[in-house]
Amino acid sequence: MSDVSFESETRADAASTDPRDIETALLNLLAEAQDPLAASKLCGSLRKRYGLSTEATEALLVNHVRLGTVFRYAPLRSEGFRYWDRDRGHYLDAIIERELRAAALPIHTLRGRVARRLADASETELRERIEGLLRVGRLHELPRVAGNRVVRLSTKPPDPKDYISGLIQRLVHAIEEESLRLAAFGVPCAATFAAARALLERSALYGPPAPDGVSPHVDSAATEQDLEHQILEQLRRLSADLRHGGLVSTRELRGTQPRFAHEHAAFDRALLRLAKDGRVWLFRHDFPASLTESERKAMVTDGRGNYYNGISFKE
Amino acid sequence: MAVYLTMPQVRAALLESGVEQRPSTQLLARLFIEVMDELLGQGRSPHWTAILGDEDLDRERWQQRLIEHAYRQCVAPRLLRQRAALDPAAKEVCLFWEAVQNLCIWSVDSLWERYRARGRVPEAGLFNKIGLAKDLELHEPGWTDAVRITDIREALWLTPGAESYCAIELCLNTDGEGIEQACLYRLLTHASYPAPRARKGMLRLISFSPARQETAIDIARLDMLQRHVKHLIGRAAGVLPAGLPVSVDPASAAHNYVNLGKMLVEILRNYGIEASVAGMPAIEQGKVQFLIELPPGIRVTQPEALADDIKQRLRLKTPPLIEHVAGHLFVSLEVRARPIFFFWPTGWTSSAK
Amino acid sequence: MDIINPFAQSIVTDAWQAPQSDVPMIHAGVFELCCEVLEQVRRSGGSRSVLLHGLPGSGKTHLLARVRTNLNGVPNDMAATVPVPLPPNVLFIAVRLRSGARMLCRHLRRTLAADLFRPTRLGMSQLEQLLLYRLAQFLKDRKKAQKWWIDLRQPQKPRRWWLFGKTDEAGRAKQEIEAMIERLDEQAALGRNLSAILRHLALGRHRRNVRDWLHDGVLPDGVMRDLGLVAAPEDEDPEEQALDMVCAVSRLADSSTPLVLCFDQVEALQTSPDDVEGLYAFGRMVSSLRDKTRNTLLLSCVQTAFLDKLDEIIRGADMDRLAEKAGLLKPLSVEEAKRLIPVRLDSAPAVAKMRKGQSNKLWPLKPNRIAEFMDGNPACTPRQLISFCEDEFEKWRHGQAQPATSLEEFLTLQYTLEYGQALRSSHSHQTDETLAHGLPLVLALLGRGKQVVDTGHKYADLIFEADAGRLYISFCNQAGNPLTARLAKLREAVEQGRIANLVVVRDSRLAISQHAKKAQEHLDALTQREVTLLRPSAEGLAAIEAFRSLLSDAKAGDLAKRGEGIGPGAVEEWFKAHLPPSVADLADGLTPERRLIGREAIYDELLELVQQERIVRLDEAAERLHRDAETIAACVAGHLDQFGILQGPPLVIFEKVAGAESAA
Repeated sequence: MSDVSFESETRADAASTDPRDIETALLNLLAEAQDPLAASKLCGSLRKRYGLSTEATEALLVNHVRLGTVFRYAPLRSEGFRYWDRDRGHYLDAIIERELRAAALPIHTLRGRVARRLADASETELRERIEGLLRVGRLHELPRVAGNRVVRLSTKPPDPKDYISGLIQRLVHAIEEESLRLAAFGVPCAATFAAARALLERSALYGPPAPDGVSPHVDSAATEQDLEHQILEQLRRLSADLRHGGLVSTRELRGTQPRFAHEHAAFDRALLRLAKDGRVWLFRHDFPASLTESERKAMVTDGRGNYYNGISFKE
Repeated sequence: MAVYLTMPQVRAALLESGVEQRPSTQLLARLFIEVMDELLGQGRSPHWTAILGDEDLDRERWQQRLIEHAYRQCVAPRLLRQRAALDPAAKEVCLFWEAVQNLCIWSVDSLWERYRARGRVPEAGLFNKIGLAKDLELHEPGWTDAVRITDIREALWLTPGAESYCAIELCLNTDGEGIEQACLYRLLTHASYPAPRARKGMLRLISFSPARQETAIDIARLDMLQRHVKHLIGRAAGVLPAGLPVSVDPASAAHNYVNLGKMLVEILRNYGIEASVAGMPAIEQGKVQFLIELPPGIRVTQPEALADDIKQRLRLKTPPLIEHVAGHLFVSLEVRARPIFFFWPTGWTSSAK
Repeated sequence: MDIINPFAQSIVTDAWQAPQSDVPMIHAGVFELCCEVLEQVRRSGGSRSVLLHGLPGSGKTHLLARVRTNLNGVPNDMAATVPVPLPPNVLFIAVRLRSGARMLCRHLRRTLAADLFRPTRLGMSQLEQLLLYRLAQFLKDRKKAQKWWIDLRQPQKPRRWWLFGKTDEAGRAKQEIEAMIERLDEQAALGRNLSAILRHLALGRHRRNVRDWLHDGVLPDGVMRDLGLVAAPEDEDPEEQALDMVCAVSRLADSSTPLVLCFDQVEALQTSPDDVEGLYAFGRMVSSLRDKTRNTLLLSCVQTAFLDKLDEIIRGADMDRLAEKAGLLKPLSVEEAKRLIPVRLDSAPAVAKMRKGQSNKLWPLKPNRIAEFMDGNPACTPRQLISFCEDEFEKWRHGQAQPATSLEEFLTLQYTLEYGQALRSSHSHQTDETLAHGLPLVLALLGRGKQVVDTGHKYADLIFEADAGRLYISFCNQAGNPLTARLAKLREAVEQGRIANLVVVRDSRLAISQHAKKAQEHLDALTQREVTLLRPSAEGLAAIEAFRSLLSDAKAGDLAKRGEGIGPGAVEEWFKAHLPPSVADLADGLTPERRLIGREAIYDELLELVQQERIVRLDEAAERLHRDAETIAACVAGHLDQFGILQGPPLVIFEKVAGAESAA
C-alpha cells in the first residue's frame, strides 16, 4: 500500500502562543515604525492577539538587543526606553531628512530639532551624519542668500528662484520708477516697458544677439506676428504631402523665403514662440555635438544648447 | 539553549564509525541536491520542458540534451564557484558528474515512459518535490539538552508514474541498502508532518553511487529504528546522560526482557562476536527490540542464518528482524512469540533445541 | 505589501516585449496607418513599406509591440490540445539592425528563423501554424491535416497484425504529408532545401536541426546528409542565399498571412558618422524585399534627427521603396499625458488597490506638478514624462527621489548588465555577427584602423586600413567541409599573393577536429606563411557584444538616464576608459608586432576531448590523446579561459562554460 498520506498532510498551524510568531510580529511592528517605540506602545498592539504584558514585551526586546537585531534608545519623556530595528545612524539620518524636508534650516536649528528626538546625539555625530548625507546627494548645502552668513541645509537642491527673485523685483521696481520719470517727458509707459523687454531679449538671458541688429521699436510685436503667420503658411504648404508623416525640416522651411534666412534669430524666436503657444511641435536633435557647424546653423536654436531640426503641426 | 548540529554532521554520525566523511564529499552531496532541484524544475534555470520542448521525439536526444543542459547550467557554474573546496575531491567530482549523467538518463527515462503512455510530450509539474523541515529540534526524555539540526536540504520527490514518494541522493562512499539514509528521511518526515501518518507502505530510496540503485524499504521497519536514530544523534551532540541512553522505569515491562537480551548475546558469541546489549530493550508495536553493540569493525554478514538460529533457540514463531545500522545490531522479536527462558548467571546453555 | 514603482521601466527594448501598459490614444494615427497599409498588402497582393520616426523616447518600439500584440495576440500557454488549422494572422519578425553591412541579410535571416519559432496564441510556433494551415489547404476535410499532425507526434506503437489488415496510421500520415509538401514546393517555389526542412518539421522530427538550418543555412556534413539537404555552391554569395530564404518564406506565407518585417535601430548600422556602407546596404536590402515579395509589410523605425542622413546616403529609388508612407510619432499632448499616467499607475496591483476611491485621477501624483512639468517641456516624450513620474512617485513613497547616479556609474551598471547577459547567452554561432559589427567599432574607437569596402576579396569578412597597411580578417568558425573549403580558398589567395596581412579568426570554443586533417593542413600552411590565427575568448566576445549593444542603443536613442538620452560619444568615451583586458588582447592580436603565429594542435585535440567528456582525469586525457601528461598540463595552464582544473590528486580537467561564474 502506498504511502500517499504525505500528499494530504500539511503542517499544523502554529498555536498563537508560539514564541516565534510573537517575535515575528514584534519585529514586523518595529520594521513598520517610523521612529523608535517604547515597549508599552508595542505591547498595546500585541496584547490583543498574544496576551502579552509590557514586561514580557520588554523582556523579548531586551533579548533581541542582546542578539543585535534590535537597538535601544534613550527614553523620551517618561515612557521608558525606546526600541527600533534600525541603528542609531539610521535614526539620525531619518530625523535630519524629515526636518529638512519641511524647510531648509541652518545647522544650529537642526541641532535643536534633533535633540528633541535624540537627546544624547553629540555634535560630532551629527556632523558626521550630515556629511555622509551630503556625499550621497540626499542633502544639499544651499548657497548663502545675499546678505546672510548662515549656511542652510535642505533635502532639495538650490532653487534659483530663491536667489534671484529679489533681484528681479528690484529691477522691475526700478524700471517702473524710470517709466514714470520718462512719462513726464511724453514717453508712454508701454513704450518704456517694450524697450525694456527688447533689451532683455537681446541680453545673454536669451542667447546671442541677433546679427541683423534689429532695433526694438514699438511695432516689433506686429512684425513678429506677421513672421509667425508666414511661417505657419509655409509649414502648411510643405506638410500637405505628408512626406515624413507631416514633418518638415527646419532647413527646408528656412529655405522657402529669403526673409527666414536673413532674419535668422527672429525666425528662431518665432518658431520657439509657436511651440510655446502649442501651435507646433519642435523636434530636438539629441546630439548636436556630432553635427558640423553648418548643419547646426541650419537648425533652430534656443540659445541654451538645444537644436531643433524638425517641425510639425501639433494637431 | 539547544546544541546545534548540521545535517552533514548528522549523516556522519549515522554512518559506520571509521568511515571518513570529508567536507568536500558532503559538499558534493549538497550540490547534487541543488542540481537535481534545477533539473527537475525547482530552480531558476529553464525548466526541462523548455529544454526538451524543441528537441526531437527521441529518447537518446533528450538524454543528450538534458546532460548538456545539466553540465552547462548546473554543474559547471558550481564547479567554478566551489573549486577551492572541491580541489581535494577531484576523483569524487568525476563520480559526481557520472552520477549527474545517470540522474539525467533516469529522469528522461521517466519522462519518456510518460510520453509513451500518454501520447503527448510530458507537461510541467511531473516531478513534485515535497519539502521537509529546514531545521528540526529533537528533545528526547533523558537528554541533557535539545538538539537542533540545521542546514536540512533533503526533500522527497513524487516521480512520474510512481505511487509513493521517494528520496533521491548521491551516495559516493557508502554501501549497503541505505537503511541509514532511509531512517533519516523518515525522521525528517515525522518532524515536518507530525499529523497522524500512514504506518504502512514503502519508502523508495534512489541513490546514485554513481550508478543508480533503487531500494524500497518498509516504513514499519524505519519506524522501529527511529528511537535509535535519535540516540545516535543525541550521542553525536553529546546530550546523552551518562549511563543508560534512556532512563527506564525498572518496573516497566522492558525489564522483563533483560535476560532475553543476555541470551541474544550468548547466541552471538557462538558466531564469534563478542557483543553486548546497550541500554534497556524497547517495546514497540508488539515487538521487543534490542540494541546490540558490536565490537569495532565487526559486521554481521549472515543475518539470515543468525535470525534462523535465534528463532530456533528461542522457540519463536517467526524469525526476528535483524538490522545492521551504523555499527549496531538491532534485533526485534515478536512479543507474542515470547519464549520460555531460563535465568542463568553464566554459561547458559540452550534448552530450546 | 511591497509597492513597486510603476514608472520604473521607461524603455521597451524590443517589439516582442509585452508593453507594461498601453494607451491606444497615443500615436493612434500612426497605428491606424500601419493597419491600413497592412490591409492594402492583404488585398492588393503587393508589398508595402512605412517609415516610422520620432524623437528618442517617443515610443517607436512600443508602437511596434502594440502592432504585434494586436495582430498576433498573446501566446497562450493553455493552448487547445487540438489546434484548428487556422493561419497565423501575420508572421511578425522584429529585427534590431545591429549588424555589419556585409552580413545584413544573414542577420535578417537569423532573426527571422528565431522569430518563426516563437509561439502563437495557439501554442504552436508561427512557422508550424502556418505550415499546418498551408498543408490543410490541399484537403477537402482540413481537420485531417491536424489529425495527421498529431498522429505523427505520437510515440510509435508496436505493430499489431489485425485480422483484417488495419494499416499503420502514422505511416499513411507521413506519406500524405510528404506528397503535400511536394505540391507546396511546386506552388510556392520553395526550393529543395527549404522543402526538405519543412517536410521534417511537418513530420515532427529533427526539430533542432531544422531550427539551426533556418538560422544559418549550414549544418555539419553528416547531418546535412541525414536531412537530405544539399550544400550551397561555394561561389554563391551567402547574403544572396539569405535573402532568397527570406523571400521563400514570404512565398510560403502567401497573401492570407502577410510577413511583417520591422526594422529597428537603423542608426546602429553606421559604425562611424561618415560610414555609409551600412545604410546603403540597408536601403538595397529593403528595396529588394519590396520588389521580390508580394505580401510583405516593411516597417522601419528611425529617429527624426536621422532622416536627413537616410535621405543623403540611401539611393533615391531605394528610399522611395523604404518610405512609401511615413508615420510621425509626435510628442505627448497634455490630454495624452493625463491618460498615460493613470494607466501606468494601475498597472501595479498594489497601487491600483490604493487608488480606488481617490478623487484625484492621478493620485498619488500631484496634478499641479504634472502641469508644471508639461509646461516646462513643450515637446515632451512619453519617456520623459515617465521618468518625471518615476521621481514624483519616489518622493511620495519615500519622501525623496532616488539619488542621482553619475553618468559613469550608470554606464558601468548598464555595461555590467549587458556583459552578464552576453556571457550567459554567448554561443559560438554568434561569433561572426558579433565581430563583423563589433570589431570595426572597437578598432575605430582605439584608432587602430578604419574599415574599408573592397568587394574584390570574397573571403575577407573585414578589411581595415591601418598604419601598417591593409589588414584582412576572415572568420573561419565553420565545421567540416565548409571550413576546409574556406581555408583552402584563403590558402590559395595567400599563396598567390592576392592577400597579404591576413588574420584568420576562429572562436576559441570551437575545436578543429582531429579528423579534419585537410583543414589542419591548410591552416598550418597559412600559419607558416605568417598568417595569424586569432582565437578570441568567450569573455572577449561578450565584452564586444556588450559594447556594441550599448552603443547601438545609444545611437538609436534607446539609452537614457532619467528620461534623458545618452549619446554614443559618451558610451565610446566610457568604454575606451574602461577597456576590458580581453578586448585589448584581441585588438593587440591584430597588430603585426604583437601577433602570435602558429597553431597549437594540442589545444584543439584537448578541447575536443574535454567538450565531449566535460570532466576528465589528466592521465586519462594523456592516454587518449597519446601525449604525455606534462604537455597536457602545460596546455591547460595556457588556456585557463577554456579549462578548469581540480588539483586532486588525481588532477582533473573540466570544461569551463562562459558565464558560468555569474550563474547559479
